[in-house]
Amino acid sequence: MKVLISDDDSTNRLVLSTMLKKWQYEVIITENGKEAVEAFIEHSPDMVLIDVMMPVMDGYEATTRIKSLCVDRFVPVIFITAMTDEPSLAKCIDVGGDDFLNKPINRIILQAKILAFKRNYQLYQTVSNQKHLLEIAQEQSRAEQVIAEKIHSSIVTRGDLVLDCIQTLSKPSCTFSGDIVLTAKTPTGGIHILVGDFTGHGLSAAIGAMPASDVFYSMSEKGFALKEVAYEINQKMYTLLPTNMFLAAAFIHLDLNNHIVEVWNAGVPDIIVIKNKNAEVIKLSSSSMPLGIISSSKMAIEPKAFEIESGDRIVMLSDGITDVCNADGVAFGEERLQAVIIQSSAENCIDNIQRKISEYGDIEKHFDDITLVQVHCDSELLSCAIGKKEVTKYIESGEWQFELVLNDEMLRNIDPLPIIIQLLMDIQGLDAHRTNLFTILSELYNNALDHGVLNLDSKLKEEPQGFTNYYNQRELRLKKLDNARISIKINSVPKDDSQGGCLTIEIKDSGEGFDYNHLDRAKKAVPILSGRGVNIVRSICKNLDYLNNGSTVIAQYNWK
Amino acid sequence: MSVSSKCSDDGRDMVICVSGRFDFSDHKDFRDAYKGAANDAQFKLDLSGTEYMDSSALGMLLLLREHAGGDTCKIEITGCSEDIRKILQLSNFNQMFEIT
Repeated sequence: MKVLISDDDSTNRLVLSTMLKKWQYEVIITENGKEAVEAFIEHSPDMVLIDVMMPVMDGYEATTRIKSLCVDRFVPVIFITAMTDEPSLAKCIDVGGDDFLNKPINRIILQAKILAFKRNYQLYQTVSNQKHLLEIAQEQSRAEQVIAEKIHSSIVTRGDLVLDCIQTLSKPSCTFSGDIVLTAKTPTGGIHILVGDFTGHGLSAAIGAMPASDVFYSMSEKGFALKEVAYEINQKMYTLLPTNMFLAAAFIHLDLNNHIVEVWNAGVPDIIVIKNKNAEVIKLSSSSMPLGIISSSKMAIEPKAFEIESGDRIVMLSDGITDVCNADGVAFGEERLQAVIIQSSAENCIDNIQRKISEYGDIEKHFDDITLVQVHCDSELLSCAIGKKEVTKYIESGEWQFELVLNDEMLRNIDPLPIIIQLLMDIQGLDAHRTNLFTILSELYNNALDHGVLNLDSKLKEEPQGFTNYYNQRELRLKKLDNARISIKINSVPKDDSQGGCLTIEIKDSGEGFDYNHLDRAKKAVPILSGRGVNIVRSICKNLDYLNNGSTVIAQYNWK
Repeated sequence: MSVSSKCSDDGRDMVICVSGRFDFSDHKDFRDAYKGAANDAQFKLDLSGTEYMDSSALGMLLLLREHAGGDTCKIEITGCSEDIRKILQLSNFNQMFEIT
């Protein structure tokens, strides 16, 4: 530790420096204030002992200058003075001095003061070092975040459709948003839109967005159906995310050829559909667990389907917006929000919501990401969005047949649906029929497996805790399979007029049969075009027949 | 927000109560509360004092479920207000927890 001494009296200088040297301090000696300031600049000592009355520059002036030189470090200045009048002593402190000692110097008191200041000085040094390190770390982290955010947003918004028919209200709570909005055109002239909300917010929430969007874009572009895309995203999230993180999402597929919208709500507030014609409002509450909590094989992904007409609106949101609180801590809530949405027109909806929310609470101080998306199904806007339909290669219908037979081991371990769908696409180029074929095959195959081979009662699912019981039973019975089999036979013949062809799908299982009528009835209770169950299969197929008490099913599907 | 827990003498039954806002700030307290009990203990969650739950609170319920054995465990959630019940239902947590 370096101590600077400044005194015009040589005896004093000698006494002070001798003591300090004895206590193992390095000493710099000066004879007036001017020299002291110069020595201070040159040697940057850690402490200053200074006399008040000196020629050239007095101790007051020197201290003022010295203190102004140490902006970012603490150097104690102790006055050593013979003066005892109060105003002079007070001035020592006024000009920036930290303490004073009277001459003649008392050795014990000087040592104690220096020790006390040394302690202060060390404390200050530690804090200052830590502050410096913290600032570096903070700056580094800020810089990294900016880079990461740039990469993140370009991945998440890759191929993002900027569409006039989709309006978004979005406000992340920090650099990274844990909310995502993904949009993609499908090769069959449809649009997939997913509004998602990862658990929490900030970087940890945003990181899951990359794999999720990857699956979303690549599968949507290839023509996979909503159910298939959701299935894969869920599986990916289930594998990647830690237990306490998941993705709540609203997912829709606008099928512009058939004027149908498929809607699936997995853990976000109600999706709202407002019909243009009679201003009818349909609210779709969450019907599923958020993505990434359980494995896809246990997940019931059952989107609902509605007819859609020009002018209809669909609104999807994350829970951030309904959680905005007013001064009394009361949340804005779904009801208030729905009222604003319903009363607004397609054109002013987003503006109205933004205004009402800002009037209600402090949106800037809100702790969660805010995302709301309105899809305006205006036929003109939509046809602009879709643009020219990509013509999928037409492959003339051939005459062919294949059969896939699955035994115990295969039934336990393999999901044959993606394989078969891919085979159909490769042989016959049926991209436009992918959704329908997937619906038919998945419904009929799952019924054959669950109800035929495994003999599970679908009523089980309706009981409380039924879902878990159902899947526990399913796993158990799958393990115990003995000599079971399911065969899937697909046969293709061209149609007489040579436009397209007819596929016959026959699924046969080794079970005793099951009450396929009950499956039909149970699902009839669900609102129109519910998009689930044997009912929808019946509506897509030319023919659907159950034989042998249900253990054989034959579906005929026409395409062109 | 505050998390408190009560364990029976044999360590087999554990009741965890959360009052006020149940969010990320309770993460450590909540984890500490269930970590003290045996994995095969019977867990009960008393949410009668809970006013609000965010998604990280739902995440914590999943951690508790994992701790208690995942699919094979039965965790009862009691005392939910209408709002809390709605939050749990929105995410279909009634399929994984016994909400009474």
